[in-house]
Amino acid sequence: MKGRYEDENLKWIALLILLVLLVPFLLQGMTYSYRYYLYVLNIAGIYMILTVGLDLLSGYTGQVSLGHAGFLAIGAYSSAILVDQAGIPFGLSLILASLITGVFGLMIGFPALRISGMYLGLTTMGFGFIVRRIIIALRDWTEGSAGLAVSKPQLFGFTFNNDLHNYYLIYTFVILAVILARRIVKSKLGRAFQAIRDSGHAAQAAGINLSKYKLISFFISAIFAGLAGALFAHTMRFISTDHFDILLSIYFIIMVLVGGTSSIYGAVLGTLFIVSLDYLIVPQFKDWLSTFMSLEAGDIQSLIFGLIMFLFIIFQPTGLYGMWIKMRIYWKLFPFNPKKRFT
Amino acid sequence: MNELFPGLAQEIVSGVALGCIYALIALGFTLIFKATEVVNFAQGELMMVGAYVNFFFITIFLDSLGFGNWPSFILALIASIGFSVLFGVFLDFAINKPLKDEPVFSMIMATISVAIILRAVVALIAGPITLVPPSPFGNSVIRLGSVAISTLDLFIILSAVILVSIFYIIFNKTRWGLAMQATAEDPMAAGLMGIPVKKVYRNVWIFATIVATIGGVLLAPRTLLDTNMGFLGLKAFPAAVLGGFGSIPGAIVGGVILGVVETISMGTLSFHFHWIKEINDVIVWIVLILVLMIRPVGILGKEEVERV
Amino acid sequence: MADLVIQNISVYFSGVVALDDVSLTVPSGSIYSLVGANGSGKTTFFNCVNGFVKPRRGNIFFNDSNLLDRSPHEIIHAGISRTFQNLENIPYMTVLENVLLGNHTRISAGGTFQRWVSRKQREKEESDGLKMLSFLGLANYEQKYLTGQPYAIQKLVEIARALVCRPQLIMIDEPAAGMNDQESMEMAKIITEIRDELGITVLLVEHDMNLVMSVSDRICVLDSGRVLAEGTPDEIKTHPEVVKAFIGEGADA
Repeated sequence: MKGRYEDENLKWIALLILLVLLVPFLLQGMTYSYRYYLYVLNIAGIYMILTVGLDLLSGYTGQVSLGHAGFLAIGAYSSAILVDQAGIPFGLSLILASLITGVFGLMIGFPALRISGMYLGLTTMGFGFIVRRIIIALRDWTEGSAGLAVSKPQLFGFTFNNDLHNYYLIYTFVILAVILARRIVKSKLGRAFQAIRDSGHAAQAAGINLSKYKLISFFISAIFAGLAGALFAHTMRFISTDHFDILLSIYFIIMVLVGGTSSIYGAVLGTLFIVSLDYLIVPQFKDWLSTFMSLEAGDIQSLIFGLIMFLFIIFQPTGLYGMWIKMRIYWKLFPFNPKKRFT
Repeated sequence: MNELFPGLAQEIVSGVALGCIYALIALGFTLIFKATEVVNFAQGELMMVGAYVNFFFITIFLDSLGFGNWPSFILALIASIGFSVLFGVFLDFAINKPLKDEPVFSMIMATISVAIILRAVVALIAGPITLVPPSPFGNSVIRLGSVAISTLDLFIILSAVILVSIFYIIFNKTRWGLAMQATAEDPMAAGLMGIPVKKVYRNVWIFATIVATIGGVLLAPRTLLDTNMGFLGLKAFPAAVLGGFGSIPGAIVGGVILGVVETISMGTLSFHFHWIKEINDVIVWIVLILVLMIRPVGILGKEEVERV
Repeated sequence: MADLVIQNISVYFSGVVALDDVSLTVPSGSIYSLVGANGSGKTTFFNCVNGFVKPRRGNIFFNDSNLLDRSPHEIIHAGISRTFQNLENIPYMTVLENVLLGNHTRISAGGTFQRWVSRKQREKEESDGLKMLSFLGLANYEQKYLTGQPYAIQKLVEIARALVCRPQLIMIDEPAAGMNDQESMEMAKIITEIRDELGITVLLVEHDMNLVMSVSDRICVLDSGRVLAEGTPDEIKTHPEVVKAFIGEGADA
C-alpha cells in the first residue's frame, strides 16, 4: 500500500506553503526592486487561481474556453460594485462575486452541451467580447470604458495596504485553490470530468450524465475565475475593460498548455512561466538589447515574447509538466511488475 | 418603409463586399484546418503581411521604376503572390515540420506565437504609421439604380467567389483534393497509400498564405493599412465557424452573412434603434452564438458521427 | 427474474439494416454469446441495450422495466454495465482511478467532500476498486497510468470498471480480440469466474469460437442483422444454417 497517497502527500504542500511564506523575505534580501517582483508575483497569483480553474474546464473536462478573461471581468466588476456601491464587506463580496461568476459560467455552459471543440472555443470567445460590451453599456455602475477605481481589500478590520499584504492575501487563496482543485481532480468529480474528455461513451456507460457534469465543470471553473477577478479588482485597485481583452483569454489557455494540460501544478507553473516571461525576462532582455540598438519598446517586447514562446513550443511541445511526467512514468515503469495472469 | 429601402439595399451591397473579405480569411482558416486540423491563429497576420508586402512592391513599381498604373498593380500582385509562396514554404518549415507528430494543441500555440512575432516584426519594420494604399480602380463607382457599388468592392466579391469556387473544385473534384482529404482523415494511412503527406501539408500552407495575401491586397485600399489589420483575423473566425469549420462554401456563406449583419446593424438598425449602437461590434458574435445553438456545427458543417 | 428480454428490435442506419426484427432472451445467471461476422449487428445490439442507439421498433426489458425509456447514463441504474470493442479507457488516469470511474453511481456526492478530509473515507471508496483489481489479478497495477500498458491489461481494466459497480448483467464486447490462445484461455476463465463467483449474468460478443464454445450456456448467431440460429453450443455446432454460413457449402470437414 506504500505510496498510494503519494499524490496527496501533505508534506509537499507544507513545504510549498513555507516557501510561499518566505519568498517575499528572500526577494527582499536578494534584490532592490523587490516591490516590482512582488507586484509581478501578485499578478501571477491571481492568474494562477484562474488558470487552475481553467485547467479543470479545458484540461480535465476538455471544454475549450477562450472567454475566461470575460469571467475574470465579471468577478472583478461584481466585487468592485458590491463593495464600493452596495457597501458589502470585502470578505462576503469575494464569495458573492465568485458565485455570480459561477452563474454566468452555467449560462455559457448551456450552449456548450451541444457545441464542442473549436465551435465551443469561438462561442466562449464571443462571450468574452459580449461581456466587455455589456460592462461598457452598464456605465451607470461601471463608468463605461473609462475604468473604475476600487477600494482596498479589508478583512476583519485589517486593511491590505501594500503589495506585501496583498501577496499574503492572494497566495492564501492560491494555496486553497490548488488544494481544492487537486482534491476535485482526485475525486468522483475529477474522474467524471476526464471521462467526458476522453470517452463520452465510457462515461455514459458508467452512469455519468454528460450534461450535468459539463455544467458543473463550467460552474466550478467560473467560480475560480470570479474569485481571481474579485482579488484582481481590489489588489490592483483600478479596473477597466482593457484589462480583460481577448488576448488575455488566449494567454490563459497558453499558460495552461505551457504547463501541460491535466495537471494542476502544471497550470501553476505555466502561469508563473508566462507571467515572468512577460513581466521580467522579456523586459530584461529588451534593456540589454537597447544598450546597443535603438528600438521601439512595445514591439520588441512582443517580438521577444513571441520568439521565446515559439522556441519553447518547438522544443518542448508537451509543456513543463509533460517533461516531469515523462520522467516520472519512466521511473514508475522501470522495474516491471510481474504480470500475474498473462505470463 | 420606402425611405428605409434604398439605404438598406446599399448596406447589403457593401455588407456583401465586407463579407467577401471575411470569406477570404475564413477560406485560409478552412484550408489549413481541412488538411491539418490546425486552427491557424496567424491567418489575419498573414493577410497583414501580404498587404504590406504588396504595398512595398507597388511603391517600387509605381514610384521608383515609374511603371504605369495598371502594370504596377499587376506586377506587384504577382510579386506578392511569389512572396507568399516562399512565405508559405517557410511557415510549413517553421511550424509544421517540427510539430507534425505533436498534439494539435501545440501547433495551435505555435501559430499564436507566430501571429505575435509577425505583428511585432511588421511594426518594427514599418513603424506605427498608418499607410494609405492606392487602389487600381481609383474611386470609380458603378451605379445600379439607386445603389452604388465601388469597382473595388465588385472586384472583391468577384475574387472571393472565384477563389472559393477554385478551391471547392480542387478539393472535391481532383485527385489532389482527395489526397488532402485523406491526409486530414488519417495522415499515417494516407502516407502508406502513397500520398506525399509532407507535400500536402506544404501546399496547404502555401495556398493559405496566397489566399491571405490576396485578401490583404484587396482589403488594404478599402480600409487603411496598419498593424491592426491582423485583428481582422479574429473577426473572420466567426465567419469560418458560422459557415461550418472545414467547409469551403461555408467560408463564403458565413462571411457574407456576418458582413451583411454587421453593416446593417451599424447603419439602418443603429439609426432606428439606439440601443443597437451599444452592441454593434459584438453583433457578429451574438449571431454566431445564436446560430451555433441551433446548428452546433455551423450552417454547412458536417456533423461527426462517433462510432462506439 | 432478471432476464434480459429483447422483443423484435429493428435498427436502420441511413437505409442500411443493422438489426432486423431481432428477438432473444438472456436468462439470468447465464453466459450468453452473440457471434457473427463483422457488421452483422453485434455491437449495434449492445448499443441498443445501452441506449446509445434507439431502435426504430421493438422493446428491451430488463427486470420488467423498459430500457428504451432510459438515457444511456441511466442504464447502469438498471443494473447493466458494459465494455467497449475499441478500448474506451481514460489514458491519463491510473488503473485504480479508471476502475473507480465505474463506481461513479455508487459513490455519493456527499462522500466526495468527506473524502477530502478523511483518509478512512478515501480508503472505503477505493476498497471496492482494489477488490475488483485483485479479483482480475491486477493488484500490482493500481497506481500505473493506462498509457503504455499492454492491450490485455487495458482490456481487463475495462472489465474491472464495468464490474466494480456490481451490476446484474455485464455486456463484454470482444474481450479476447487480438489475444493469443493462452491469453484467450485466461479470459475464458475470467468470464466464467465473473458468473460463478460474482453471480453476474454475462452477455458476450466474441469472434474467438473456441472461447465462445467453451464458456457459453447459450449462443445466438447473427447474420446481416437477423438471428440465424439460437441454442446451446452443441446445437449451434451442428446447426445446418450456421455450418453453411461459416464453414461454407460443400465443405465437409
